[in-house]
Amino acid sequence: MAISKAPSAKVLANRAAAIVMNQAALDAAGLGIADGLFALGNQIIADAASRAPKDAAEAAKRGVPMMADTGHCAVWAMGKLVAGDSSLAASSQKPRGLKVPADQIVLVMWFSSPLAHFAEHGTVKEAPRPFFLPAVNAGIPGTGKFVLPAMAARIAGGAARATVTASGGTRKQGNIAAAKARKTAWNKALR
Amino acid sequence: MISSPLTSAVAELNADAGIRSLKAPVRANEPAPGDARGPSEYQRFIVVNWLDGMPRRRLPIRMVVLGVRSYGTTPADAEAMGMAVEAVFHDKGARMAASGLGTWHSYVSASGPETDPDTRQPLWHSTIEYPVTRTEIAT
Repeated sequence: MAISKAPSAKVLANRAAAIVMNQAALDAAGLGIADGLFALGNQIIADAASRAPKDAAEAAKRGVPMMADTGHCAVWAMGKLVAGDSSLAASSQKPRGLKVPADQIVLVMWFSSPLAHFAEHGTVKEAPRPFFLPAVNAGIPGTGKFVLPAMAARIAGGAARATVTASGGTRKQGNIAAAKARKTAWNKALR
Repeated sequence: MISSPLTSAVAELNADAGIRSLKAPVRANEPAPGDARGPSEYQRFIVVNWLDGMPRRRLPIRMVVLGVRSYGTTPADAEAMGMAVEAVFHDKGARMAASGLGTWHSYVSASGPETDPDTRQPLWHSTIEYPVTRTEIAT
């Protein structure tokens, strides 16, 4: 798959800062759900990658990554990206046409290889070698094991920190202000 | 011997009048020799595959997921075949195959157009959630 031109360090910094700002806008329970879903997504992608067909020689010949290495996951909360692997921030590999609801927390997992769906479903010459669906079906029943501890951790941490700051704002406002300051500092440093 | 959900699904397709009217052979696992041809020689056929089938703990149920590829002569033909397949499985309640295998509520969880990478033949892919009993039901 042709990978688009790599974005500049400034663009990357802006995207990273935006993720921090989006996180700051979520409450502790929402953040816990997002953390848990992201951990679950990573486990499912790792499981799917271990089941995926691997042909390192063919991938090297074509100059593309192996299909097993093209798995990604990301979490959108209230319509904003709040967790995603570095390749998501570094490229335009977000699934085309993806729309996320503005009132939910959504885990999205995908393989960006253009051959992945042929391996999954089969062709007239090749039998299906499903690797993603079995990993998803095996992983989803364990969602609670990821989400509940992550929520507990965020809520416990949030309760300890949920104090009014010296400047009179709340902790959440402080987080947003800090993220904005980091973004400004990055932009200045990169000019 | 436990009946195969794949065999049961193929039998359901073959028993349906809508599918029979298409005159498209239904294959389990892979196309038969001669099914897949090059451009200008495309012919209809349907291939059913097992994609997943995790048994449920403490319940005599297996959550089978089937992939159905409906190969048509044109994209519109493939779509019409896909709709015929959907009519067989989507939102269908509890039933029992002749083999004694029970099927709970089956439905189509994903579907869409596709082109085969080798022959470029248009096809319609359907993913069918097909929960079945793990043993035959005594009657």
